[in-house]
Parts: sequence; C-alpha cells; structure tokens
Amino acid sequence: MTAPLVSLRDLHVSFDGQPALRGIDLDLARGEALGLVGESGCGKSVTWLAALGLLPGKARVTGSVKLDGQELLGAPPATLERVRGGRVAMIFQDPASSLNPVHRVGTQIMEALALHRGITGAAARAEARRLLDLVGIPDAARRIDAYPHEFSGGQNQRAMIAMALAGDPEMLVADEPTTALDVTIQAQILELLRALRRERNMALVLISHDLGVVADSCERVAVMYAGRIVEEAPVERLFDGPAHPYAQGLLGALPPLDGARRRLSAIPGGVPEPWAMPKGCAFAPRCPARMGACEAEMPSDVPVGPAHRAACLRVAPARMTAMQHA
Amino acid sequence: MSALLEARGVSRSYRLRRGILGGSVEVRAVDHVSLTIERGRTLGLVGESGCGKSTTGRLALGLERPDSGEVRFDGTPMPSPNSAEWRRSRARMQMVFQDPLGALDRRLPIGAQVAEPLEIHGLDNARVIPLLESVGLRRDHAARYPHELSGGQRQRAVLARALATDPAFLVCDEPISALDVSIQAQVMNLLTDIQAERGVGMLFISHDLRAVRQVSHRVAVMYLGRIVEEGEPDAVLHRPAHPYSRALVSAIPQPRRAGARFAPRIVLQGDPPNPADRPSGCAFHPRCAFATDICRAVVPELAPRASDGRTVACHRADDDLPAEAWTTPLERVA
Repeated sequence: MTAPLVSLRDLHVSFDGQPALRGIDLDLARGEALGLVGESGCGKSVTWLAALGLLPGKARVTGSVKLDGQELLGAPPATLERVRGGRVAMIFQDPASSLNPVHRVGTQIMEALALHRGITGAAARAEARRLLDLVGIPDAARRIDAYPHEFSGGQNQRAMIAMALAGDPEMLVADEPTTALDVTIQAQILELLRALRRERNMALVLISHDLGVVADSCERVAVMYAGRIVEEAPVERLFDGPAHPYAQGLLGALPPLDGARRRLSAIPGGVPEPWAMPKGCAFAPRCPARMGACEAEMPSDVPVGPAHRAACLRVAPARMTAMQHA
Repeated sequence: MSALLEARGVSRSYRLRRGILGGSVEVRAVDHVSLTIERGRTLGLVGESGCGKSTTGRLALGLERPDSGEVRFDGTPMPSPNSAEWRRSRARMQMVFQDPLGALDRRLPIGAQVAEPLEIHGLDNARVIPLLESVGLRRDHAARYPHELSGGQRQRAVLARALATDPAFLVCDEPISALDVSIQAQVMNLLTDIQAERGVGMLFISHDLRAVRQVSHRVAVMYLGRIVEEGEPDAVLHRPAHPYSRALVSAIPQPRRAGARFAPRIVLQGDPPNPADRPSGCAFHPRCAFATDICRAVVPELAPRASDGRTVACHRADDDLPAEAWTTPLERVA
C-alpha cells in the first residue's frame, strides 16, 4: 500500500477545556472519496477545521496531521497558507455566505488563481471562465461578471467549487455541500463532484449528516459519535452490515423507500453534552446492547473485517451480524 | 361523510416589486390547487423550495384567503381571517413549523407556552402535564426554557402546544428538516402515534420523499404552484408518472448495495424556475426531456390517466417515456 495522502493520528480538540474531538485516527488515500457522517456536534467539521488550522485561538489541538508526510499541526502560518486553498480546498454548506457579496464571482475566482497559481490578468480571466464552464455555469463568458446575488443557490455552490478548483487541489473537503440545496440541485452538485474527482484523481472528504448522500458518492465511510470515530468501513459493508449499534441505529432511523412500512427504530435520547461525557462508551446511555463493561472504559477499535473497524465491546468476541435494534 | 378538509381550485398570487424603480410583477404562488384530506389520514405534499407548498399549507389553515377557489373545513366554508368565527375555528386546526426554536418564545418556560392556547380558548390548563407526557417530555420540562431543551425536545414541545386544543387538523410544514437523523425518526414515530390515538388529519409538507412515504397515506407532488401528480405513496415513488416526479424520485440519494442494480440517475438540467417568470404551457417543459410543442403551449390539466388512473398533469402521461432520454451533465464536463 502506498503512503496515505493525509493521515490523522490521535487528534484531540477541546474548547475551554471541553472536549470536541477525543482521539481521531484516519487515513485518506490519493484520489479516494471518504464520507464522514454523524449528527450535529459530533465533531465531523471540527476534525477538518483542526487539521487545516482553521479553528479559533481558544481551541486546544493536539495529535498529528500529516499531509504527504509533512506535519501540519503547529506548522508556520506560511506553510498552512500554501496548503489551504492550494493542495487542500474546502467548500461549505452555505455558498452564499462563503462568497463575498460585493465582489463579482469572476474576480473572486481570479483572486484565488493569483494567490495559489500566480496567474494574473487576461490569463486569470480566461482560466476563471474555463473553471466556471467546467462546473456547469451556463454562459460562463458573460456570467463571470455577475455578483453572487445574481446566481441561484446551486450556481453559487458551483462557483464555490470553481474557486476551490482554482488552486488545483489534491484534496477537497466538502462540508455539507448540498444541505442548503433542493433535491434535484443536490443531485446535480453530487454528480459534478463525482465527475471532477474522476477526472482529476482528486481525493474527496464529504462531510454530511445524510447517509444517503455519503453512500451515493463515497467509497469509504467513517461514522462519528461524540468526538470519536465509532465505525469505519467500505460503503457497501457499512450499509449491508453495520457493526456498531450507533451505525445500526442511524440506518434503522432512515425511512425505507420500499417494502412494508414499519415503525422507525429511533435511537432514544440525545447526544451527550461535552461537559457531561460518559466515562465509558459515549453511546452507552442510548445503546440497546449496553453491558456493564461499556460504562467502565472507552472501547478501542476492533477489526470487524477487511478495512472495517468498530469501537464497540459487543463487536469484540465475534462479529455480531445478527444484532439489530429492537 | 364529507372530507375533513377540501380545497377546490384554490389560487393565490402575490405582487412582487422588481428593483427600486421597476413595476411590480404578479407571482402566482398557488395555482388551481385541489386537495382532500380525510380524518385520521395524512396527505404528503412534496416539492422544492418556492413551489408553493407552504402557501398551500397556509391556505388550508385559513391563514390566508385564496384569490379564487374555496377551502371547506368539515363541510363548511372557511370563515374569513380574524372574524370571531375564524378565531373559534383556530382551536380545531394547528400548525407545526420547521424551526422549533423560532416557533417558541425564548422568554417563557415550556409549560406556560403549552398552557397559552388552553387559556385563549377557555380550556382547563391542568392538561399541560399530560400533554407534555403524551409527546414524550417529562413533567419537569414544563419549567424549562426553550434553550435548555435539545432540538428534538423543542419540536416535541411545539407539538404539545399544537395538540393542546385537541385539533382535528394539523399542518406540519417541514417539521423534521431541522433535526438530526435519529431525532427525525423519533418525531416521525410521534406523528404517527398521535394520529393513531387522536385521529387527526394531517397535511405533511416536506421536500424529503423518504419522510413523506413514512407518514403519508397519499402524496401530492407540486411544481411551481401546481400539483403535477397525486397518488398512493408507493405508486408515486416506485412508478412515478410525471417526468418531474421521476426526477425527484431519482434524485433521492441511496446506498448502493452490493449486487443491486439501479436505474440511471436522472439529473435535471437548469435551476428551478422563477415563479415570477413562469414558463408558458407546462411550467416544467424547459427542464423536461420529453417536452413537445403542446407542452410549450398548453397547461396540462391534472386528471386520471387512461392506463392506470393515476392522477397526473402531463401531456405525455400515457406515452411510454424511456429513462435514457435524460442526459447527464457528466457528458458535458467530460
């Protein structure tokens, strides 16, 4: 196996002494699409903000983040600035608030081109137009001079993707890129990301609360709960046989599209607050398969199958495929 | 027995000013919409933002008066807004919104907010605690403020308040889209339970077809102010008749299970149209792969089609339309 493009080891983040990430180990290969799912507050966005040094000063970050073997945590700002928007680009949920409303869309893309590839003037304008064309903005030659408010939500997200591509990144972190969009527009953006990734062999980290979106676009999925990865598997394996009770619960909570309509197996209760994190497994208070030992210590990762791991004591003795939510 | 709620040919337009100096344009938010909701049943209304589904909900509740057409509740015409009769009718119909934090008063404890509709309608406010318990909240939640509750608990509080006057009809406007997946399931289960216990009729407005299938007995698909298809949820989801419904169903992201085969994904070209600049004929024709001359000229009527009686508004409802006709932007990018 070749060395991973990005490798996170024992990444911890806390805000004012309250933990947000509690030890993340994750690798991303070149050209790979990894989905990161979990509910609000589980740390899926914080993981990448921390990795790219984008968290506010009060955040305490420890561990290791390596891009191509180069340590990013504690790296000088100049190094990070070359990485961000250059080798690693990021797009966010709300494209309208990520774009500057008083500058033309084309100008903003040209700015990114000047910053990361040193292209200016007419060459930058031509390249910005090519990028807008590439992400499917109709009539790019004219629309390059439009302002963000003249674009629809889907077009703004396309413009954001064009800007992300300006630095010719090896990796794109997309944080809930379609959550604010309509269903048919969501399908367009996912299709675009898929095509771009194939063409450029770009790695993708897709952060989403929507299991369907991740299943649709990614090869591997990591499920996060309360600041930890509780299960990681190739996408088909996770959907066919989730090992962790939380992953099972998430899948059970998704209304099916066919078959008999059944009562949804809702996970009872809610996510624990950071200041009241259980001592053992953070999911134990909501878990139907809880045992005494779950409350004593944090479960460590257990291999479940090829490229499949889960952090659950119940998984340890044998693979509990039969275990389903009641 | 008459239906609980019946809307017949209801339309509603707004005037929208264009620019600082420009004149105003008419935006037809809801256009000749007819729908029926039975007691103890749920009608799911799906569509994308700006298609008029929330306006339809407000018209169904009598919060707005239609420009034309009629809404009848329990067999009688909806009284005009703010009349004494209208105020009395409020107790029998309620609304649940998308954002529970916005729908609650941040300065009042939950208990007081649930008691308010009881006091307004002169009912016994000893029912507050049983109401909270009926939606899965605890007795001690009554003294809490909205910010002290989680998203799911807030939506439960909103439901408790909506149920306080024992309504016969509930409009739920995107009630779960602001919630996390596991909490969405809790709220959907709760809505089904409430319906089974109290026999309320519901209009469930959502853009999420999975959720709509889970809670609805019938489903109506809206596009630019008009209902384009209506039927049983499984019929519409598994064999959508209108090209727009086909695209919507195809856009549902879903797990690719090993070995399973999927129909090619339909990716619609272009953006949802602007309601202020409505295309001629069938409003969907600029994005439709099957549009012909008649689609560009004549608005199709919602009617049962010949083959299986599915209610659909499409000139080509009875033609065999191949899925391959849709092109994807992949080819353009490549």
